[in-house]
Amino acid sequence: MKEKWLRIKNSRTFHNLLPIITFIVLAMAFAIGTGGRIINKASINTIVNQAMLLGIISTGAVFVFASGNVNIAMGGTTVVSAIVACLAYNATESIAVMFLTSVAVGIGIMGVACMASVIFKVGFMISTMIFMTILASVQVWMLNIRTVSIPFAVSSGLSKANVPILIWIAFFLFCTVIFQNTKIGRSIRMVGENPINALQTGISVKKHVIIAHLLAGLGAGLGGLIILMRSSSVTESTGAGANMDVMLAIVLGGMPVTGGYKSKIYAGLIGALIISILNTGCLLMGVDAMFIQAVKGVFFIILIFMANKRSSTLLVREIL
Amino acid sequence: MKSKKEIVLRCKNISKNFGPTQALKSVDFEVEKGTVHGLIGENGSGKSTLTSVFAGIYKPDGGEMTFLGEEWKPDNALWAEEHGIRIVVQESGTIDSMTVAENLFLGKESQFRKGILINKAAMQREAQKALDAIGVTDLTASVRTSSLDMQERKLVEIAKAVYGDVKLLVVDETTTALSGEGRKLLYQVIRRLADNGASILLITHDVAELMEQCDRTTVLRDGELVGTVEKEEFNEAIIRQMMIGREINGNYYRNDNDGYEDEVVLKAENITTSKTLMNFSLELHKGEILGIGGLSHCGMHILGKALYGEELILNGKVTLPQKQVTITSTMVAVKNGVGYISKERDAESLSIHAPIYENISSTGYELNKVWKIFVSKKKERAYVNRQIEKFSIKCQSPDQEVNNLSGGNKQKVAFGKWVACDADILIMDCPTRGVDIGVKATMYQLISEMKKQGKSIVLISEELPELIGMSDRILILKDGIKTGEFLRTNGLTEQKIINYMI
Repeated sequence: MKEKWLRIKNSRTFHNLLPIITFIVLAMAFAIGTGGRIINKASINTIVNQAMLLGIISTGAVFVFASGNVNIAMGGTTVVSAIVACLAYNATESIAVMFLTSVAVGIGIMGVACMASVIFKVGFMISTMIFMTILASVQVWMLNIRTVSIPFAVSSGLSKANVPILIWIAFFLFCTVIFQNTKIGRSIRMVGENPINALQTGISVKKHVIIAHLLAGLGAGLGGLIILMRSSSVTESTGAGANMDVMLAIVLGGMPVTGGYKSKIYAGLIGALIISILNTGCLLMGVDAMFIQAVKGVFFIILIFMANKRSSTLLVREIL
Repeated sequence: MKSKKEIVLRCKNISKNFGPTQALKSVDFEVEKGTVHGLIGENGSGKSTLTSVFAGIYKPDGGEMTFLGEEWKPDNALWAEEHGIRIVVQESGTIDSMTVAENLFLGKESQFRKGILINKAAMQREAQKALDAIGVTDLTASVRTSSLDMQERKLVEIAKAVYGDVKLLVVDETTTALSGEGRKLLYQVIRRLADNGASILLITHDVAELMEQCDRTTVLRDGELVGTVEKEEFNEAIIRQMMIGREINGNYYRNDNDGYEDEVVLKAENITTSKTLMNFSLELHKGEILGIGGLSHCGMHILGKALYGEELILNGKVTLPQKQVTITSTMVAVKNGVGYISKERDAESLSIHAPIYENISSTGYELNKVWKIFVSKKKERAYVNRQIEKFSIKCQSPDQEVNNLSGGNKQKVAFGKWVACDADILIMDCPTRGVDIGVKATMYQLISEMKKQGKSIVLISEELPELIGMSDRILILKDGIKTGEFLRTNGLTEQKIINYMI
């Protein structure tokens, strides 16, 4: 029985299907636990909206994780992108400027975090931890001195025109193509798999890690736009827990913790759905918000145990 | 004549399958007490699988085993180790971030426990004793393993394996990682153990080594036992024939003296690196096989990396005169048609947990593009399949993980990725290390073909016969300096070269 279980656990098909199985099992469990409330229109709407935002950020973050690195500042980057985009709109009343600003800020923050790591030769994990703190402070400071919101008419207009979902679809398709079908995407995965081999194959490890971060920044910038389109404003609680949710989503979605060739571009999307259904389901069942994080943590550990083989590679990669 | 010594390990009708692949087919195998028993066979013959079965790494699908007269069904490798079967593996078996002492006593730290703490000083003293016991007196047990080279790490593994009560020591193609001095040390350890009643199983591709060190030898082929030969019956040609299943010409190196063109394709001018190399210069010509040899720490491996742009050059430069390019990084090298196969195959030349497909196609992203942006899967499949066919890489499919291939097939993948992209210059560091004679013959043939096509090769090797057999010219290094240069002639022997190495 033990051997059969180990064979299943170690099979590639099991690994690939595990996130989807997890989502289905959770959906069924919460359908029963909430007495069917999770499958009503409002709940499904909530789940989809949450998943869309988290999914877009996580899909961008897949590139960073695929390169063998960890980034825990994605949530903060998204929120600061939203704040600056909001300010840009209020200054210019231009939706195009708002869009461009959000994307530019997202890419800019990730670029600076990455370059800081390269210049000061510190691990990316450390660099993003520092940025996570800096961005949280920036958020508090900026929100203290002014209200940050765009006119409701603008946000609802964009929302009703399905711009968020269009952005999401376009970004996912863009990322999928880059990830699977371009030299950049394949090289990023090779860097995650074995950076020495990548270097010896003539692939610049530094360059591709930077590109991975810039793509993640793009996802964060687009996430900032979605925040504005959904809720018009940014408050101090916007993005709370998002840094960890992104990491969780990626791992729950089937991403190996050390990146490499087994990375999956859809991990962000599936993980986001799992997180969203966890969040919504727990809330509907009356679980205290405090305990929801604990529940997610337990899930995280179970999934890591079931999904990932031990690896001697480290999470933090030295830039070569 | 059959020996009447006590049998330590007896395997009867052992079978093992990996999916559709039958790695072992009803193999009967015995090891006698107090002997050095050789195990030889081509890559994929089942040597490592057989060893893994009785060492507790794999469970057999059929058959039975006894060890020291008792039924033997090891739960796992650690259990087998505790009961007297130890293995020194071919690839790296130490943990870089730990010290020598910590590696030696990994999993057995409790013997140094003082309350809740580990007495590290006592551990280091005991580790030092273990190293001294095998004759390694120039290694300090307190240093981190990451600062040691491959040979020193291998010696640590050997010390670990023979520490304590070892009944059966398996040395799995370890000697390829050792220099002449290291091998001598290992042979002394082996003989001492055998004289004290332990048994040693020496797995090697080197027939000469086998004949010199072993008391008897078993030959496997395609998962089956071909035969066991006693020392008095040892014959190199017969053993090789048993391995391959056909007669093999003893000389598988080049037979020609074709020479090379005058055109210089790669030039190193007074290069000095942070490690070993000092004001070193060389020129590689079109269609030349330039051999680089010396003792293990002479700087030849660093030279390979420096020529390729991977090792930082403090002074001097490496250029491609035809293209007027200075090699400053591996990216520049690859872009200009230079390839590199590292000595550390699993750690550097390959991504071993990735499929064959990804490994081979990694040099072809530019070549297989369509519309200048997208990499065509169709073109890539053809790119990869051509190499699988050319090299006869034994695999279930291109999507098979490289880690599941035998050593020789892994090396073929490493070769294949550079042949696929048609590199003009190939720097090969110990390209036939750890491969059997069948694969060696294929590699040598390929190198000869590449020369005939006008490709240029830097062949770095610790094996003098290989250098003499294949090179147009040989440069010998000692302590980072060129001490000798030899042209390909019929009368060139190892004896003439060795004095320039020591």
